[in-house]
Amino acid sequence: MAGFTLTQLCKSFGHTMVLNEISLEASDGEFVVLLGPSGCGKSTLLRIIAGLEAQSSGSVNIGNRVVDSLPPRDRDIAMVFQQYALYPHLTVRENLAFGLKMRKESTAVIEKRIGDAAELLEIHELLDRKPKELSGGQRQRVAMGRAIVRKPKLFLFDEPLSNLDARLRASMRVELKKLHQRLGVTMVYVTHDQIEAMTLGEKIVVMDQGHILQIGTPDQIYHHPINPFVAAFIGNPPMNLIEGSVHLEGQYLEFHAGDFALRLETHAHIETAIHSDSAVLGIRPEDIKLDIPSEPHLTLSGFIDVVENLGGDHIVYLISQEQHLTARTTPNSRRRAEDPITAYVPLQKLHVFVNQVRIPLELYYH
Amino acid sequence: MVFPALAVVGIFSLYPAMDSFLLSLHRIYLGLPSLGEPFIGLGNYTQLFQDPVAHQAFIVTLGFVILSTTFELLLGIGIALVIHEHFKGRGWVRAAVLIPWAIPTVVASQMWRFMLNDQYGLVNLMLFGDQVEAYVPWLADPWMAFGAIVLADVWKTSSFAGLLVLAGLQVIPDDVYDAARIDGATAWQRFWHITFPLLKPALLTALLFRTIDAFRVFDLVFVMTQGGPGDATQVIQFYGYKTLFTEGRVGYGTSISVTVFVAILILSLFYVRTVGSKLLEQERA
Repeated sequence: MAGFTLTQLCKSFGHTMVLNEISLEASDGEFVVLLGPSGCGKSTLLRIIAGLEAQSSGSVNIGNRVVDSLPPRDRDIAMVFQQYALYPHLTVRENLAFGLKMRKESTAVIEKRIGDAAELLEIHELLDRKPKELSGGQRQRVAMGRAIVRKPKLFLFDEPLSNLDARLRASMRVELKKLHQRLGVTMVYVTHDQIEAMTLGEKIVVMDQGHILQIGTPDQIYHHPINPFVAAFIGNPPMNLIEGSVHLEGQYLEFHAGDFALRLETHAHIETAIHSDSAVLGIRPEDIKLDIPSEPHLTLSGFIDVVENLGGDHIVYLISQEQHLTARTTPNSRRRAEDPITAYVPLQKLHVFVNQVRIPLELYYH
Repeated sequence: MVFPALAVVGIFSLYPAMDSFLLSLHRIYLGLPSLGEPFIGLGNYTQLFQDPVAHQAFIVTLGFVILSTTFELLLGIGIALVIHEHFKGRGWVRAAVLIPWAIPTVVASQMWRFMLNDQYGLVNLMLFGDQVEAYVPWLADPWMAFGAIVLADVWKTSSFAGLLVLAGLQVIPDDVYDAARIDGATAWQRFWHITFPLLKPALLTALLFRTIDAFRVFDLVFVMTQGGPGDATQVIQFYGYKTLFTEGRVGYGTSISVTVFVAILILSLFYVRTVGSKLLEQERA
């Protein structure tokens, strides 16, 4: 088992730069999630770690060994693909055995490993079937089994759950988490699904357009997103983002977006005044309260646009000072569209981004 | 609703086939109408099965089928593997590879005949230049003439086999190869354990088309060698043509055609039964 280090990885296809100075470190046994929209370079990064694709510059180190010149077979890795990539002409048993046979393991070892993996993944009764006779979820288990039998130092997952339906995806997510807990092996997991990232990741790497935007624990990423992109990408429903202008001076912060105005006192002290027309105020839907909170807060009045009933939660779409906001609240059947409403946001929960960068103010008072 | 289709099949396929069969049951000499057209039952067929020339023609045909089909499939795999790769100008290479197949067989055969000509042929010129005394009369030697028709057929139809194999290659997903690379398979192992087994359906289809086609070979022989020298390249279809049209033995010639027809029918049915059902099974699996 081992961690890995990526040092200033760059990759370009012709003139198109798909990865730009990617540096990343993961410790032994860590579950690392590469998260980003499609085309952000996360899959390419995974393929470079695997050795399926060569980087243009930079270096990959797996388990304290530089593997840049090694083919995939010598990197001691296993990979699970989005489309499962099972060998269609081989039975499940032969699929699991393939990698071991290529490495000339003895029959006894192969049988033992297949038995262990089949038990772990509960695929015993599938061993003599062909991939086409399996459901999507079963195929994905087999694909994982094929990775497990090899006992690699590093597991790579390329959007393994995206071809499954929502219910199956949820249960496989839990199984993957269990698998990681049992095996304790370093895993790199590529996804565009923020829920998978939040639930599985110990370290989330948010990427966009070939760059790493932020690396952090799920909590760090969720509560302290580094810029509006990360803020909007994580969380469902997404964070409310209000674009406007900001003036920061001394302990005061003034924010304007059309009719929407806000003046706050902060704990920080700004020496030189900052004024920007490219500011974003962010509020998570669950931070918009419909009951008065005890801590210092901001008060918003407006009316209800739409109410979505999710059973356990209500999603209330409201309009306040011409701003469309989404709030996630406890259910209350008396709320109707067009009703007037007053909402409250604890000041501590406000996120302020100036020129695309988070301003770490301890927001405090009116 | 199916009547028009049935009528077309009846008039253009069934009737001629039946009529040919009836013809083959009679003794008919075009040049000797005075002998009439007596019904002799399966007489022509018993004669055919004892005819040493027919035996020879059958062996030549069999040799041609086996050799040309083998080389065409092997070359076809090679061609398909090359034009499946991504490289600059692949579109042009793909088109170029298909040129031999696009040329009409008669034209291609004529071209090969010219190229192999003993006095002004390109092959002699390239091999021996101005050493005229070393020139080889390729088509005059029994073995070399046979080799020449095999060569011409392989040259002409390998790309077709290649095309069928390429279609088979294209349905193999890339990530299966990625998985095999990570599983530790070398390039050769990937070909042998992944590509080859997954190509089987395409290879069997190509084999089916090529054997049936090669069994019916006629135009190549007609243009290049006229069955000669001696009977070295006289394939069964050409023998049938000769008896029927040059010797005027309509009954006997027709019995050869009918035999070839039945042989191909059996071959096709065999393929459809065994290979075809396996193909379907594999696709369903």
